[in-house]
Amino acid sequence: MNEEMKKNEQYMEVLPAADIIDSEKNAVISLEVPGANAQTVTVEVKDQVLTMEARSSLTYHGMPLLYKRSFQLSDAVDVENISAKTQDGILTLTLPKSERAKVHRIQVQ
Amino acid sequence: MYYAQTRHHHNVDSFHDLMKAFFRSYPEWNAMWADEGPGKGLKIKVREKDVRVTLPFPGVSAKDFDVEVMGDTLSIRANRTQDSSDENKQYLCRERSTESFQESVRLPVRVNGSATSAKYVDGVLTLLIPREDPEANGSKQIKVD
Repeated sequence: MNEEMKKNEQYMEVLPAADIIDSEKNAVISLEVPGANAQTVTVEVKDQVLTMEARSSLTYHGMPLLYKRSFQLSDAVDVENISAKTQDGILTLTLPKSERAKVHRIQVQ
Repeated sequence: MYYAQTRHHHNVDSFHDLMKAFFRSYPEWNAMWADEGPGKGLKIKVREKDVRVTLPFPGVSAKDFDVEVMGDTLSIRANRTQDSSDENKQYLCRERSTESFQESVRLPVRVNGSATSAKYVDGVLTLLIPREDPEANGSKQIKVD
C-alpha cells in the first residue's frame, strides 16, 4: 500500500549540487537541498553505495522537488559511523575513514 | 576514492549576464540562461491578498539578506560570506555556488511594502508583501453623466 502511494505521487527529481572535501580523518559531502530538512531527508548505504533523498517544499510546475543523488563508496569509508545533519538547506554528510585508510606515520629510528 | 559526477558550470561574466538578461524575456527558449531550472531562481506569485516571493539560497543565515521594497520595485541582495579557510581545503568535487545574488524586479501590482514579512527557513527566503487596497489609495470611481 505504502509503495503504491509512493508511485502515484509525482516528484520532480533533481540532482543536488555537491561539494566534497577530503581531510586526514574523514571526507565531508555537503549538498544543496533548499526546502528540505531533517524530517524529509533519508540517507542509506547499501552495497557500498550511499544514496540520499530529500523532499523539498519547493515545487516545479506544481510538482514537489525530490533531491536525489548516489555516491559510490570505497571500502576506505567507515560505513558504520557516517553521520548526517541538515542546516539552512544544506545536507552535510561526514564519512569517517576506516583505520586502514588513515595515514600512519612511522617513526624512523 | 569517491566517484562524483561533475556538472558543467558556467562562469559568471558579462556575456553570461547579457544572455541571462536577453533570455529572461523568452524563458521558453532557454531555461539555462534564465536560471529557471527546478529549485533555482526567484519566483514571484501574485495572490489575491499578497505577493509571495521565494528565493532558494541555501547555506547562509538571515542576516546575509538585504531586502528592500520601494514603491513597486523589489530589490533582493543575498551575500555569501567567503570562508577564509577555503584555501586550505582539499576539494574532491566542487559544484556548490559561491556567487552572491542580486536582483531588482518591478512587481506587477501595487503593494504595501512597509508591511512585508520575510523569513529564511531551510535555505529558502520567503517574502509576503501585502497588496495595496485600491480604495485606501484614494482612488475613486467617477461616474460619467
